[in-house]
Amino acid sequence: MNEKAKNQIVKIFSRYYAQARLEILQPAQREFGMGNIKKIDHRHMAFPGLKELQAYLANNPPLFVSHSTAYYRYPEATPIEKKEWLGADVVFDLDLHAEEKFGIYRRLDSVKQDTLRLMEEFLLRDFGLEKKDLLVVFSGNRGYHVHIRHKDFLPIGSNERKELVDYIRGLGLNYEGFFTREEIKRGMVKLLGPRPTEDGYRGRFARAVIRQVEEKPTSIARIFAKPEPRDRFIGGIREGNWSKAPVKDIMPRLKPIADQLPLQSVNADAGVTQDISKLIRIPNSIHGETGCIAQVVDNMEKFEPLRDALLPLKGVATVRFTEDIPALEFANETLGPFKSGEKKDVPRPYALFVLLKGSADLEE
Amino acid sequence: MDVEFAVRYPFSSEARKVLQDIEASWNEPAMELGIERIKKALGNKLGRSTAMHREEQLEEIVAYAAARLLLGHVRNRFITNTFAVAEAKRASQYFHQEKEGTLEVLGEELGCVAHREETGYWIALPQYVRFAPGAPPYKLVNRRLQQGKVFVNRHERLRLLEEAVRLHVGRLKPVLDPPPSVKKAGEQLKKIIPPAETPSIAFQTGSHPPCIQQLLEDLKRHENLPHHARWYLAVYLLHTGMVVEQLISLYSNLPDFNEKITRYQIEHAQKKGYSIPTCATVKSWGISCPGCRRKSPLQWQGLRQGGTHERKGKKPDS
Repeated sequence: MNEKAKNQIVKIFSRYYAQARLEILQPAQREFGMGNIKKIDHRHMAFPGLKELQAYLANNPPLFVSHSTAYYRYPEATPIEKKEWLGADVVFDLDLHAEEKFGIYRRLDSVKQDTLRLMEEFLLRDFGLEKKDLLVVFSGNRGYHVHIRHKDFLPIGSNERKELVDYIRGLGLNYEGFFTREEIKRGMVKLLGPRPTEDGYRGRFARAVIRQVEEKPTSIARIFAKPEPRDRFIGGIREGNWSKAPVKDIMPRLKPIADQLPLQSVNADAGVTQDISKLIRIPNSIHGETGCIAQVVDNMEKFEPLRDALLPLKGVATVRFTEDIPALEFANETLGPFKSGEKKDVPRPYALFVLLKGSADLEE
Repeated sequence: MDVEFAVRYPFSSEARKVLQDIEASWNEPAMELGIERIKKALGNKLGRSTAMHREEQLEEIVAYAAARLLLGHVRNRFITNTFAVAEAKRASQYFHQEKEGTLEVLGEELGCVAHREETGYWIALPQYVRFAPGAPPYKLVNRRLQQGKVFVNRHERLRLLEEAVRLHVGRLKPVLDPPPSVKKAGEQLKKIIPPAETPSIAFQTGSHPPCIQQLLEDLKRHENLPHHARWYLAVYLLHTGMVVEQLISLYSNLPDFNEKITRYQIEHAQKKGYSIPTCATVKSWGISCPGCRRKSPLQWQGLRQGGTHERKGKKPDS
């Protein structure tokens, strides 16, 4: 990135932060971290309120700014023990893992669907939370963060948070444990199991089996191609009676269905959820790798990150590409592909994006 | 005031009322009682109360409080964790005979509230994850859930209550300016603290996979490890060539260490020659593997899978 580009970026970020609506509960109790070379070059920063934070960011705009998921009595103290931990939001981090630099931006919809599933199936249904307890944020790059701000979840420790992630990822799921056997008469055993109306993995499993039998009946057993045994089996499941399958070894046949239940894109490796002193991107701040806003999302169904999370920059900028870039849907238009060495006038949000990705230099 | 309740549950608010009422003081005789209670906990001898008379009952209540004061001063993780486990197991011996009302009172005090229904209880999810033991049947993924509540039967409900006691007892306030009697008792207590057993295991970063490194760190800090974690660590270390006595010595850092049971389990694992599980299996047990992308712990140092007797230069037993 050339000097011209760096200067422009500082101006853009500064103007944005001067009027941004950063979404932080109890900012005086949060630790802040900022970075330009890495995402966190400095931490253990604290501010009395949002106004002071905003003034700082407008004068010293970093590429990345984060706040602690935790609330502290003394957020600026070091080491961490001296901060006096008071509790922390539970945050789930979902993102796409990908090797290619630009290809992931064509697949953002899949992680959006997973985020919707996380919210509706796991958090609102299984965990009994309400929409007002959740804050859903586009990460600014290739995924989403979902913050739980319910007071009952704040005090739970690292091991318990890991248990919540394990739940969503289905680690340790033993679907055979959902079943019990009841002897009706000698030699005859009734298989009792979950009903589709139940919450949790039990209900999820029952609903998934019904769906599979309805949509791809022969994937479980050929006999389910006939409506009568199929309907009988489904009718039994609705009552919790799994004995109405006309196949003896029904349990192992259901394993592939159980394997599909968890949510794979929740990021457990980075320890975002487990780490009770984690720093997470401030909602509505700018992501320094893309120039996109880590946008708080009110309506996930309608949200399109590369349209709705762009800085409101008007006009065009002239850039010279330093590598080949594939075509991308950006702000409702298809931009590219572009070749290395090509000089082009492009919309300013897109120019910011490719400059920050290190794929272009600014001409004017 | 219910002194008998306070004797059974000396961590309760009822016990605190008793102490206030008798204006308990933390003199040397009181601290002696505290030391004795801690010693019983360390020796696995903390059982149901044998107090017959009121004086003896009050002594037991004072003994618990003095023990906690002492632990808050000495701040040794091993003793605190062992004491907390012992007090929790002691309390749980009374749970089974208690009426529902009493269990409700205890649950409220400990933050482990259960709502009864016909066949069991419903517990709020955040409370459930705080107090559920680490064993696989308690994993949230296998439980019955309903709108943020988890279903447990009576036995499980009592087990959660036991965990709640353990966490409550183990959560100490540091005693910053102790009176002379507490300091003196502290010095006596330090003489009976066993030194941390850490047989030489390579602790350099990178010598073990991150999952094993984490478990070893937890052990060093006298943290409790769930069953699968203990088994996995034992199998792994046997594969590295650690002998049974070294392993027993290492496991003596666990707050609920029982040498007989530990020896049996380790010798059994050695005889069976269990294979080191794959990373997928380890992760399914909820064991943390931060930042590791291997498929098997064997890949970490080229450990060969060949039975627990295999060491460099030695053939495996046939």
